[in-house]
Amino acid sequence: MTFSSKEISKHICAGSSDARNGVVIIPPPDVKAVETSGESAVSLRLGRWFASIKQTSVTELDVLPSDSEGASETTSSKYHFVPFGHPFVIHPGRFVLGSTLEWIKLPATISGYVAGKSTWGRRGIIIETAAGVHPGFSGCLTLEIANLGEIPVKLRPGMEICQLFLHAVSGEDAASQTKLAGLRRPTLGKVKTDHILKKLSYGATLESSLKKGSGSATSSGASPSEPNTSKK
Amino acid sequence: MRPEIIARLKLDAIFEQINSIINSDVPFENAPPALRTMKDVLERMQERLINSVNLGKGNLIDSAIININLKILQFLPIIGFILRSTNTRNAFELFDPLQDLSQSFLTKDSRILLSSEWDYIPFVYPQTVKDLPTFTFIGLPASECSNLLIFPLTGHELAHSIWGSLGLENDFYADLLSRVKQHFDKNELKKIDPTYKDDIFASTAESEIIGEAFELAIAHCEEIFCDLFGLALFRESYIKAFYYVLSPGVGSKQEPHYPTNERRAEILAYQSEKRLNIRSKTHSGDRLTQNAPQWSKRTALAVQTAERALQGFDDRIWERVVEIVERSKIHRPSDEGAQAVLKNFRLNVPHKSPKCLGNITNACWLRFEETTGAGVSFEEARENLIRINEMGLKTVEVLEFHRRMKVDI
Repeated sequence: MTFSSKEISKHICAGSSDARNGVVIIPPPDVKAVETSGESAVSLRLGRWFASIKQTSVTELDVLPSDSEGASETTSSKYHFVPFGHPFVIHPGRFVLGSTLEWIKLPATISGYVAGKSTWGRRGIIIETAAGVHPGFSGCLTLEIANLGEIPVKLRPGMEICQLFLHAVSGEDAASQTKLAGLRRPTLGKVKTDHILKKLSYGATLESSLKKGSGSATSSGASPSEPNTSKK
Repeated sequence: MRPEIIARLKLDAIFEQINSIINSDVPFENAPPALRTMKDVLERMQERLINSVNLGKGNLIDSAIININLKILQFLPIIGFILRSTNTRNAFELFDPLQDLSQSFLTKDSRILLSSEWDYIPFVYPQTVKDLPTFTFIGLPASECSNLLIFPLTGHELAHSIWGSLGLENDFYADLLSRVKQHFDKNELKKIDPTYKDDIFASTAESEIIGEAFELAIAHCEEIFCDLFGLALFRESYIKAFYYVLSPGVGSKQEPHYPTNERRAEILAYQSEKRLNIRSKTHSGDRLTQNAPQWSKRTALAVQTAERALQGFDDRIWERVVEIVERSKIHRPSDEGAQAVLKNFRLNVPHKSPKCLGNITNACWLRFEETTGAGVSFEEARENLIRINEMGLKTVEVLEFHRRMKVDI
């Protein structure tokens, strides 16, 4: 069941004195305002770091994880820092990662989901698509921001950008072990190894790597790990 | 080709670089004014050159070209420094609290330029540029410029600006001169200079060596002041950062204008224990060993005299540091403050109301030490450092958040 504004403020107050068992939000919101808002969510603000895909050098992102360590983060994305008072202009059709200004920590008994604010949604700004925040998460939330509207929009660090809904987790669960936790900047993260996908793709990747070894190029210009569908 | 054309082409290339940086994504506000000031200076010089050419006076043209070349040589490293300050490897969260801190000691219009250096040499004199008098240049090593563990070293660099801006040399001038004279040993001069005799020229020879020793004593005094200032601002994290960067010694030679690293470590250990009740457990000065210098006998005597004159003088320097810090009314780090931040770090969360940078850097070191003891692998240590640094930098950002919330609009 989703927490009411009163429940949320109660958990934030608890987190303020006991970071282990309550909901921690730093810098803290105005708890009184949260309590009296009547909204079953707490608003979060936009941080100053952004990450975008290096469009001039990345030809594609492969959903099949690469074996080379650290390949995804440093080679695929670049960071931008926007000071308070300055805008980050997001043009129509563009996508960028941002992060919440606030550092969030949820106890093992609470999980949440992030949603955009309708104010921005009505202007074409879509905030979050992978919305789940697992119990035990600690860090700044990475926001997937896209402009689906028709005109550029100036985003400003410090603006209220999204809302966090919270609910209780029934039963006991181990705290989140995600690698994306504990960070202050938005991150692409490494694609998790998916053994089933790896096995399903095995024949094509083997063929592709053999081809690579013999020096022949893929006709489609796709990466060596990508299945070569034209041969099927 | 006419030399004035070459000079103008060089200027044109610099203007293009400056415009390119100004028009790029500059992540903090101090870089553009510094660049515009340099551009103004160079534009005025270009104007002078054009006027000289119009007047057709060869000597004026030559002099204008030489001055332009000199200014370009002086400005290029600064422009490079500013360009590196815009790189996103820097932790820009550090900029605002450091600027706030510097304005507590310097004037309200003083500006920090925080950057990263590829040829980083710890504790060098910061560049002071006559054309940019309100700017303080602070560099950190490029590969670790966002590492909060070494950030306390900025206290040392900031102190150089304070030393110059408050004219602190004058505070110590009389005392140090008298100590240098007192510790100067005429017999040692006789040993190294066979031409020295107790005749009417003796006083000139003595004055020269005393002058040299005094100049070195002032330079050493400034370095000690800067270390003690860093200690006052950051407490034990300053000492730990000092060792992180300098230890083990790489065998560099002692420079005459600097006290030895061992001597500086001794002073830090002594003053931190005496004044702040901090006992440095994990580090010892012998890991900072430097190679023996190869100075002339005369320089060696001047350095020896300067070092003797400064023996026990660090008490006096510390007192001046404390006066300056207390007058600024900044929040000073404390054990309790660091423990409060540390308590949150243990739960993997930043602190919601940090009081000062020193409490944050001390908590980062404490957490790093307690999670990275013997038996911890390199991979674990690296993970620990990343995690602690992220919480630390977010806590630093919270400092700025609260500062901005106090502004009446």
